[in-house]
Amino acid sequence: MKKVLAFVFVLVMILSLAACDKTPAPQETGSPADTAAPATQKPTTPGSSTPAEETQRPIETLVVAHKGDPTSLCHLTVTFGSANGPIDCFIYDRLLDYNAETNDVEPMLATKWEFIDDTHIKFTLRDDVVAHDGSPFTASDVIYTLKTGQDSGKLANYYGNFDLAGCEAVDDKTVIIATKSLDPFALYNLSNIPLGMVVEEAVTNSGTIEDQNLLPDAGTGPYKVVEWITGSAIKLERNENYWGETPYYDFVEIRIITDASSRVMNLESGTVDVALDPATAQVELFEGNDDFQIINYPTSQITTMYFNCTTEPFNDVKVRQAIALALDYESILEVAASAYGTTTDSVFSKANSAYAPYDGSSENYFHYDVDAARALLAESNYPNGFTFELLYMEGATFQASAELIQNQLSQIGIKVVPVPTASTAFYELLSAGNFQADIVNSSNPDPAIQVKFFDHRVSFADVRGGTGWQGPAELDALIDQAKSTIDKTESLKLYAKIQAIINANCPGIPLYSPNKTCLADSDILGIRLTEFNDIDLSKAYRG
Amino acid sequence: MAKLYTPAMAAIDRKRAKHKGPVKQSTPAREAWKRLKRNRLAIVGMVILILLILTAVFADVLAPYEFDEQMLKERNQTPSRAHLMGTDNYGRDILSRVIFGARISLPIGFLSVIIAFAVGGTLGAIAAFNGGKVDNYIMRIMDIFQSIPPMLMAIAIAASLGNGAVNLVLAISISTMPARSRIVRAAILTVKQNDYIESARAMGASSRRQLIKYMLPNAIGTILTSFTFSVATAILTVSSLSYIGLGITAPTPEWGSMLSAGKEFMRQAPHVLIFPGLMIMITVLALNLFGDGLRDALDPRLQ
Amino acid sequence: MLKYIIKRLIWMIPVILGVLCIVFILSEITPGDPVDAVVGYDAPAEVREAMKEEMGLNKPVIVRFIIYVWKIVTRGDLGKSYASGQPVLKELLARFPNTLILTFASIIVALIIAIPLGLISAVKQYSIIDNASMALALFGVSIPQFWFALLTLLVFAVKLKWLPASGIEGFSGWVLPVAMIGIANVGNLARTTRSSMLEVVRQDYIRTARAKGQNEVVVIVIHGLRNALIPVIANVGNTIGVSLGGAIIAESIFSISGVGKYMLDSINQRNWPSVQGGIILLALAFSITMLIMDLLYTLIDPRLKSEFRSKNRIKVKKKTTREAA
Repeated sequence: MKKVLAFVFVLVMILSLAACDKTPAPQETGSPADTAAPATQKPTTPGSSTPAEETQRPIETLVVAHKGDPTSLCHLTVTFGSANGPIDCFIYDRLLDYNAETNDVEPMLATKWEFIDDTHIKFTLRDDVVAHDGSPFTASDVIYTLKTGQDSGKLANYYGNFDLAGCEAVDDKTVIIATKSLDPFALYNLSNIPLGMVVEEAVTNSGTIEDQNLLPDAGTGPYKVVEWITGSAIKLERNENYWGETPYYDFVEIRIITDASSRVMNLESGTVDVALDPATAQVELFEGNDDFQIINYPTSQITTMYFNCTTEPFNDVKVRQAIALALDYESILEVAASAYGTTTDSVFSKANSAYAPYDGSSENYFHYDVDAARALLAESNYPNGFTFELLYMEGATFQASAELIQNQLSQIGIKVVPVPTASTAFYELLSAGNFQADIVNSSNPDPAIQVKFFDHRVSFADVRGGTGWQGPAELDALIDQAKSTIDKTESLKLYAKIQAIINANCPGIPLYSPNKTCLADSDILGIRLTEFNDIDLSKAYRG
Repeated sequence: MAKLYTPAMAAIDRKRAKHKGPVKQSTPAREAWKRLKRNRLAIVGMVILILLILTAVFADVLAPYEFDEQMLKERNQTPSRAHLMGTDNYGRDILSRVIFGARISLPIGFLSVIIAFAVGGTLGAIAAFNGGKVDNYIMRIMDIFQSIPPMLMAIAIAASLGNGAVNLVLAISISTMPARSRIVRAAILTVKQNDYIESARAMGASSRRQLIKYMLPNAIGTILTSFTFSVATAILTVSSLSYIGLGITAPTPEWGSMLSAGKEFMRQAPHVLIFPGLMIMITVLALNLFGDGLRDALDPRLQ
Repeated sequence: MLKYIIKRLIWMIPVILGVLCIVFILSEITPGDPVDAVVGYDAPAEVREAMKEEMGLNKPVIVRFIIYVWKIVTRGDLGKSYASGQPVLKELLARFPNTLILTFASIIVALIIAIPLGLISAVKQYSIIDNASMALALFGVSIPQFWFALLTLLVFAVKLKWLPASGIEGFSGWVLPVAMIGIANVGNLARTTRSSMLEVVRQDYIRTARAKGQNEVVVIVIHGLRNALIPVIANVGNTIGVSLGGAIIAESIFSISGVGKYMLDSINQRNWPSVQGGIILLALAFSITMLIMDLLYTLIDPRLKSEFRSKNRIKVKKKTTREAA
């Protein structure tokens, strides 16, 4: 019986050591790409090429590992979830397309557009577009889409500013879209994924708009839905009637793999071709690997720690400034995002179109200086520190940021209680203003929306959080002016002033701006970034 | 009644005890202890268990670092002399975290089983002792509770109540309570059928005295064995629930949640995954070995 | 016999009602307003009020409970998922087969391994095989399942790339999840087989059979095993519950689309109808399986045939206290 223990530990040790062993065993020197093919034991000899290669191009399927089921396959009647973007790219076209390289919009369903006045834009549409079921796409469908989106009440961020009464279908190919107020961002908004166009005739042919949620056929995008096995996969096939360039892949399969590490492992083992939203800790393992590519775009996203400036102790500006100085931004970026991102010295990401570099006109606290932080805290109303609760949504990256903040603030005597919260409860608390400080990642590229977090005229509920911070009087005017300035240089100047004021007061501390990363087989080209920092694979092809 | 007992007699007693003289009274408990002592594996289990409890008690002294001390320059380091179990993603010493983890898993494990036995056991004892309708009602209710598998029940309760140690204890004790009541009931029923209880009853012992004086001490062996195994299971459940995010959340150094956080780094730093898991296993193994020994010692017919 | 079966079937009714009651109570004690989950935290008051009315949240608890039970019993209506708006039952049934396969495959595989293991251990008591298999059994019951899964994932999927890391495409995808759940079952069942076999071997009829000069293999397998399996089958019942729990975790580790993963995902989204539906479905499946096991058990054990009273279940179980723990 003595041997029993020995056996047990031998078993565990073998397993543990095998797990720890970093050098690959000699028999598995093959690259991951080789093992991707179902294990055929015999080595392939030069003469034995598969017959499929000699005939036409074999049927190709793009297999994508995605983090979760979308809330729906039609975006018009549901809250737009973060899992929806990459899927909707395949199914729907927008009026305009976004080009991440030029940071500008390009023609998509609309070929031409012009501003009639400040609030009316005239679009000329393509005439060769049909929905997946064959119904033609016309100007009235644009208005139908805008109306349905606005009526649902769940997409206020995207549809809220359209003035439906002012919209008009001039003829089948011409539509005038009206906005309630002057919106310099209107064109960007129209290139956004939740603004995908839906053909009314196709909707009525198959029932109501709700029927589109499961098996949509009213989109005009390059791929159409074959099947959605919830929790498992979404299967798409090429839209043979697509107006644009014929989509490359015959089929697209989006596999739902909720675990970030599993998505990466599936890519490595060859089960999938693209892994969306990989765990950043694992992305760095692929540096220098020729079989895979790392898609790594800087984004306008910004992960910020916001303070509730209406309550103690964060109504004290010195406290906020001290905290800003006490944070080691580089290490937060390093640990939370494995350095896939950038730090910034402003409440805007460096990739945001309105970002203004620090010009020295006011104080800036977004750099690591513990001594200065201690000095500032000593001058504040809380020289001996205090305790506060830091609210954030459950998840590895927020967790990492929170734990680092906790540790770094303990150096200046401030105790942080991390409160990881599930998303619904999280937004409930934020909307009610029932928090001390929180960490939020905002992905909206529109500077006007970013600034809302620091505008005391906007309620906690309006932006699901924010700061309640009462800035100097001139700030309100500057914000209003910036919101309605179309001229780019003028608008940049205004936003530079706004940022200088906000940055000096630290109502929110920009921790870092995460990059959008994605891993893919190295021969897949045409992977793009959407305006809202999603990966768009609808134009992908094998090169 | 005072018994005459002189120092000289005491000295003789001691001498006899030393030489394991035949005079030594042989109670079942003492017999069991003798058998347990002979079972080396059980003793190994017991020693490990005692060491673990001491680790939990003296965690402050034993841990080389604070469990939340972040050394950001030393992230994801493999085991070295400075960090015997390496460091995690935040540059925290895993050994220290594992040591402090004993302070969480052990109390939660023991406490939840104690509560389950206190509540479920009492119900089981009442059922066994009264028999008839009372027995029937209690056991039918337990049947209903048992129709949800314990793990599922624990997940459901933990999900409803939310994270945290107290909720975790509640989830585990409620989900295991019916099984515990059955164990106590069965143990008492077995004893109840024994001859000496019959004779006690014949001699007119009152109900309560019967239960407490005769039945419980005799049933205690079975209950103790089952208690040990239950703690083992409870500790596994604690770590599983924490692993799936329904128990203790980071940055608390609970073993299961350490594994959950380490999963992302298992490629770069497999040691992050090895040591907390090993610790859970050693604890559970020790409890199982001890429980096995206890069972064999108390019931020599088995084996 | 028939009377017993009918009695057990009738008993299912209060069990199901009880399960519904437990699930309902759990949903009542859950913090958070269900209206928020449906219409969103920022919906206007009139929308919220309308939704509250529609969901029947204004009625007293007892009325809501009756409606809740009525809907489930008469229409199988478990409500709609907050996340997708689809009926929960439909989503559950789509995922149920995977959970079922996972659970039962792991039990069957465990039985195939455990019975011979326990048998050899008992026959060759204290031999190396005995020691090794009992060590394996001890290992199986002591190792945290999810940890075992992570280690095998690391070794076989990541390092060696022999098996897929997730999903259940083809046979190979099932290997790791089944092994994860099976490992604990092997431990449990092998130990039970061994101890019950040891007991049986000492019985008179085995001695008689041996004395008659029958082949040793025949004695052990035909006479011994048949009787030794009775407690093993009793124990399979307990194993089902453990395996279901294991399946929930295995599904989440290996990204298998089953009821367990659906429930855990729904817990993260605070999507209670889906969580409740999952609990009800699994509890129901578990109860039905236990019923079948019970009936099977009474068929197999000749000693029990004459005295069917549910008490007997307990008497037999007491031999295997460790499994109940």
